[in-house]
Amino acid sequence: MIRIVFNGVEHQLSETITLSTLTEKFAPKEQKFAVAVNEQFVPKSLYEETSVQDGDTIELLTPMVGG
Amino acid sequence: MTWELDGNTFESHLLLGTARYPSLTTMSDAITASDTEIITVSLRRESSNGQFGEAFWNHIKQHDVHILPNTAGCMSAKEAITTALMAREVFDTHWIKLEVIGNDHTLQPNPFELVSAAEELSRQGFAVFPYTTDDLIVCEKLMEVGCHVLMPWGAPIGSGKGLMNPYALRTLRSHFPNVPLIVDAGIGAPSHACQAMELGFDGILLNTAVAQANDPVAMAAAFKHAIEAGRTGYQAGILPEQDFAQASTPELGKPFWHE
Repeated sequence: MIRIVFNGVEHQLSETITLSTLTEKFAPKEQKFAVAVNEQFVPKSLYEETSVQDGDTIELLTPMVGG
Repeated sequence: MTWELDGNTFESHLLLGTARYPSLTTMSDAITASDTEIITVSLRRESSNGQFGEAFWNHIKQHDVHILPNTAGCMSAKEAITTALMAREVFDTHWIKLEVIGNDHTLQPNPFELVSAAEELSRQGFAVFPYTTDDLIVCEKLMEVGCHVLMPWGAPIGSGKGLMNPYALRTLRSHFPNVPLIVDAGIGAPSHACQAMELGFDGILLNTAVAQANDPVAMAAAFKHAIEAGRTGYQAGILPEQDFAQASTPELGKPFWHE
């Protein structure tokens, strides 16, 4: 069991998964998004080879209004 | 009347924010009414209040505009750099409106973190649009680290106070005659925007004054006309102030004249 914080909410995962699997699970469908793990940007090209670790803090951000 | 930013030619001198409108439809109509060619956007966690994600982006896609993502809310260079990298991937642009806030009350930029972030992002190929104070030395440092445009504040974000320090803005215009200068933040009335353009600024970035107006679409049009008026006035050559009256009607041939 590993614990992560995803967009400010704690989640428990039964096993280690890749960022690719995580975004398939959590990312809104047909939506632009980008991901940072522990405040470091992770480009989409690295999702497959990036494993989510116990204690990771993950931010998944989408377009929003802004000034 | 055209001007250039990062190798692109623009006709509109108004950059418009997309936040705080009563609805996405009103936002979209205001963008159209303003004739803007550049809009600002942000990145946030997905939510369900209708102002996020897909609904917002579907409105934006209808407009033929350049996207200028911001790093709003970032309090350190590290946060701003990470946000900029994420924005580049999401919006497919190397433009970034760099905001690094140093004070929660005034939303004043932190000049030290701002320069640090600008240097790193410029090194990574970004066109950095720095939201800065009107401090001349900070602006010089931003230019030194790779910025090619400066965006000094007129007043604190959302305050609507207009140009708090026209002298400082005039000084920046004088010091950087060939650098695109955009007043970013603090604009409340169309006359404020007109005043900045009369000082020789190249553009105005505003949001709240339009979005929070009773009629945002009409206000967008008002700002468009005010900015055009200020720009045309600046280019036409504004009469220098003087301390004495000077009659405009000719003295020659004045009736009832006695020697």
